[in-house]
Amino acid sequence: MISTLVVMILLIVAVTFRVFIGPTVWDRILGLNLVTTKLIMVIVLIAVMKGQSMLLDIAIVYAMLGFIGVTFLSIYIQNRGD
Amino acid sequence: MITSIGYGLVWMGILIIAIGVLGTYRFNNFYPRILAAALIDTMGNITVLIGVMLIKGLSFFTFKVGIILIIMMAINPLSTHSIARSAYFSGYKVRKEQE
Repeated sequence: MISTLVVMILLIVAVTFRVFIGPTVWDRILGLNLVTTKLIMVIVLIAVMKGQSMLLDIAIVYAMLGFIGVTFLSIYIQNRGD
Repeated sequence: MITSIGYGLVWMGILIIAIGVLGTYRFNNFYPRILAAALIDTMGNITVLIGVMLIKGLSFFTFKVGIILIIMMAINPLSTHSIARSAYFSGYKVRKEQE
């Protein structure tokens, strides 16, 4: 289970460069969305490795907060800052 | 036996997610990039979560992972659609034949 965690964290680091080098602002939001979904997978794998179902609540709350953040950020950019 | 199938599904899901990350860097335009992000990432997440459910067997843990699976299947295409809609209505032009 440790090796899956290492591979997922390397993938998160690879996606984070898209946030830095993205040509437009939507590329940066897309990179943020990908980092959020991969981080939820990392939390689920840690919960499986430790055997605690308490950590899955954190994953549910993080999924909902990431969805709200990305949606309102894109609506804010679509309305040009109103 | 079922546990081995679960570990195989988890590794297959991580491979699918890695292909999605590669597609994010491979394409040089915004809309193919967001296609790779939406489709392949959702598929990888569903595969990883089904593998975890097969590993843990029938318990309360599996029920919570099922809730996360339903939430991910609803939320991930919605947020990607929201980003693409924002880019389209803001007037993002697709440059033709850039090499």
